[in-house]
Amino acid sequence: MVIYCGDEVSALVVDVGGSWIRAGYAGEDTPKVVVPSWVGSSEVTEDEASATTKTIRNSKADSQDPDVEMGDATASQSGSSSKDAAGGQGDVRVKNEPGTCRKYYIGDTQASTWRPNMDIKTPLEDGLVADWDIYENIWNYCFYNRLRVQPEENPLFVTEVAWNTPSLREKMVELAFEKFNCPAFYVSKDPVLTAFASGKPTGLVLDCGGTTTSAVAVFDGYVLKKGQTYQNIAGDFISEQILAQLKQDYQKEVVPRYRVAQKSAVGPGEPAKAVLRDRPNTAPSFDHRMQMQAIHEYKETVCQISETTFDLDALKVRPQKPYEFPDGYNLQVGVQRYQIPEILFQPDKFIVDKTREVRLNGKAVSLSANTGVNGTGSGNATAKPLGIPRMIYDCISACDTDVRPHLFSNIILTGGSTLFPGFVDRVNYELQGLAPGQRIKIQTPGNTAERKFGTWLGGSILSSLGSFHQLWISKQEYQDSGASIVNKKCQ
Amino acid sequence: MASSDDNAPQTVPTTTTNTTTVTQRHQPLYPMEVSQDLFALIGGAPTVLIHKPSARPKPKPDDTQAAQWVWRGFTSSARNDDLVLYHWVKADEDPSDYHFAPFNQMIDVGEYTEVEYDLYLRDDDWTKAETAYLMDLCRQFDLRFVVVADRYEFPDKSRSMEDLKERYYSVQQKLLRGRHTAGPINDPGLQRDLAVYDYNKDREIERKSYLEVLYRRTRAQVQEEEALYIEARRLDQNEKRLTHERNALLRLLNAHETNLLLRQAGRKARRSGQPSNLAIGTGSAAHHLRLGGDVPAHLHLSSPLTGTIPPGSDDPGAAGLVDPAGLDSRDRQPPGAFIRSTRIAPVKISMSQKVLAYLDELNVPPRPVMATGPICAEFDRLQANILALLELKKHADKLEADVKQATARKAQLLGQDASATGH
Repeated sequence: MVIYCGDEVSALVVDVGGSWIRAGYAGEDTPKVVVPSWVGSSEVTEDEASATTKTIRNSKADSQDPDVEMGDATASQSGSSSKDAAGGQGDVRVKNEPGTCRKYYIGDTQASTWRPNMDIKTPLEDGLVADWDIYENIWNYCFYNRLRVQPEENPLFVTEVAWNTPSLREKMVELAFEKFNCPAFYVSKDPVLTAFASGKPTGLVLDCGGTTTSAVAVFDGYVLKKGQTYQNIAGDFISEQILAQLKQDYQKEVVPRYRVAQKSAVGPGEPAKAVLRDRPNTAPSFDHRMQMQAIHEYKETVCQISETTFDLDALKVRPQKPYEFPDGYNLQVGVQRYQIPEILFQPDKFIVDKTREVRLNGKAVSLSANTGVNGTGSGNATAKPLGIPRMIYDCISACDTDVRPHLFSNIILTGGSTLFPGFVDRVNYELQGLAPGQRIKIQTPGNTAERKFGTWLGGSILSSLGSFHQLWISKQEYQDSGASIVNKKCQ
Repeated sequence: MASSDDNAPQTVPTTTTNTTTVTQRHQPLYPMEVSQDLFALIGGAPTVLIHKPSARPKPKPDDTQAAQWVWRGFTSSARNDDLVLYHWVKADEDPSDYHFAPFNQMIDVGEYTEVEYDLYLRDDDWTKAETAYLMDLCRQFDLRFVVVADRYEFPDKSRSMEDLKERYYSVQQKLLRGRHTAGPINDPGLQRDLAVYDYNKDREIERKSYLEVLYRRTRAQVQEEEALYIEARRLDQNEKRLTHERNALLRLLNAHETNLLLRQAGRKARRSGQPSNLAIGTGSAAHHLRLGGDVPAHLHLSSPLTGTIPPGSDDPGAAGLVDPAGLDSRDRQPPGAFIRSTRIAPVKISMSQKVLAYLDELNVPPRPVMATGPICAEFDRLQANILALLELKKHADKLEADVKQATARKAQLLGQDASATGH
């Protein structure tokens, strides 16, 4: 082990991202736990809560839904097994009002299962932790239900976005030491870890994921704060726009899978003939999430990015792709499959649903200055949403002149949305136009797993290094200096 | 092999082979009317794979005990606290210090006391607190000024990287100077130490502004620049070619000039009554050639002929011996192997008959029989001399004819005079 500079101290690496949570042991090449960040939660009464999962199973048993039952089976299994774990349960109840509390459903099978009045939420907003209750439950779930470890025995390594605030970090370190009793803790920034995973200490990391797209410069393992940009035009935003575009062009409301009981074949473009399930009291957030899942599949199947400048006539002659939605409705997708992802590159021209809020660096920006539909217009009226090449270029331009060539030759693309066919070519093409005299080299991990788990992988590498030992914040240090030590030690 | 199968016992244990193979075994393996050799040619019976189990030596049981690994807590001297983490180590490993502790290297950015600050480091622009903050950041980021400048957040101050660098390096220099109490201030050791911390802020800003201009170029500008570069390269190459040609021309001119000079010299010599043209060739012509500068030295060694051109003659052949590049054609080495006799200077066709006749007169064959280096050289010289001789002879004949004509004319004139006077 020593020859690889590694030393296994059985650290746990947890990466809570905008759309996926990855958790696993340091030193491994893929995370053991990969679950969506979208967590279901519903209000239950104390009585219901005190009754074990058995009650839930009974209440669901009368519904004749095979996939619900399957989901329940796993739920009850993990739920009951985790009951004994110290204080942590898979579905944690938190006291809310007298007589009621919230129950959380974490994991793909849990959160995608229909339950009356179950809300779907993610703990993050623009990458920052907004709901600590869910966040804590996610850790709980990872440690006790999935990894089956005692956090008080393992050092904990977590990731954060580059623009995380000091107060949120302090809260995180408090959570680790006070609630989970970790012996040691460290928090590191996503771009640094992504760069590590691609073997680069210096580079520009463009992370285009589900909820956020960010461009951050990394120098010698440190994030350069000036110039970092993040924007909420990412995978989910694209999905929303596809939803709007389908409504606008085909008057098609996407019916999510959970509502379809039976579908029958129809011709392209014809209205769907599907038997729908009656799902009363569905929370809007759940329905929307399920719609997004259906769109997600559509997006991954048909959408593509023009390799060079968007040229409508040239793209019109490209082959169409057929796609069938969960309810059997199907269509041939033509140039639309290029138009919507083009938002990533030219947001001001291609956004269909202009009522959606676009936030640049956490502040709303106007999409069209003359109409002012978005209505926010708070101080940031002049700012415009940025295309990805522009984000990269602006970020690099904000750095010192001496560093720029290094950044241009180490542009690292990561995140699920970079997997659109043509994405890398397009970024390369556009950057050559923006920075003509520079040697541009784009580094992209070849396999999908590395691009999806790049951040986690970097964390796994870093925390399994022998020389990482001196960087851990120990519990003693935390007790001596308080939570603010995290801002001093984790740069 | 087929025959051995034939002789094999017909009873086959039915437990191992199925019925079809049994029936096949009962039939002869090849028809009797076809000879065995022919049968072998058309394919024959399938060869039988004989698997011979190789005797592999049994691995010897290892007598050594398996290494014991233990899950052991450890601390590291690289840490200030005694954080205990656990890892697997060999039981016999020395548990004194953590293996990776020595890698915890810090850059020493230097400390200073309050007194020292007051004595040496006072600056109108920088407060004590801000200086301390800067030094702290430098320590924390191991002097990565890019990061230091990025993270620099001192209340009510915005500093560029150049400001920070200047302050840091000046602090170091001032401390070095201040602490250097023993020895003179121009001590070379101290100067060397100071040079490490040399920093020229203005130059650095200027350098970066140039880089910035370079960075902000538009596509058109870059393209223009590239075009210009290519154009410059082309011009450069053109110029090289031109200089080469010019040099060649100059050499040619030089050679021509030499001829002219030689002629002039010849005329001069004639006027002064010097008898030998050859002397001019080896003497003054060589001298003039040396003045010519870039004419290769071999020119006046290998062409004694040029020196012997009869003055006043406009024979183009004399100049033709010197080729345009300024090199004697004989001095150019052809690639590969060649016969030395082919390197003997050719004689002009108009002269060849006369030369041959002369050679015949001397009892020398028209080509050297044994063409060794010295012989060829000698033959060359001989030929050149013959040519020169012939040339001189021609000249002499001409002069003689002139003289004859002149005397005849004189005699005629005198005769007329005489007759005129006689009348």
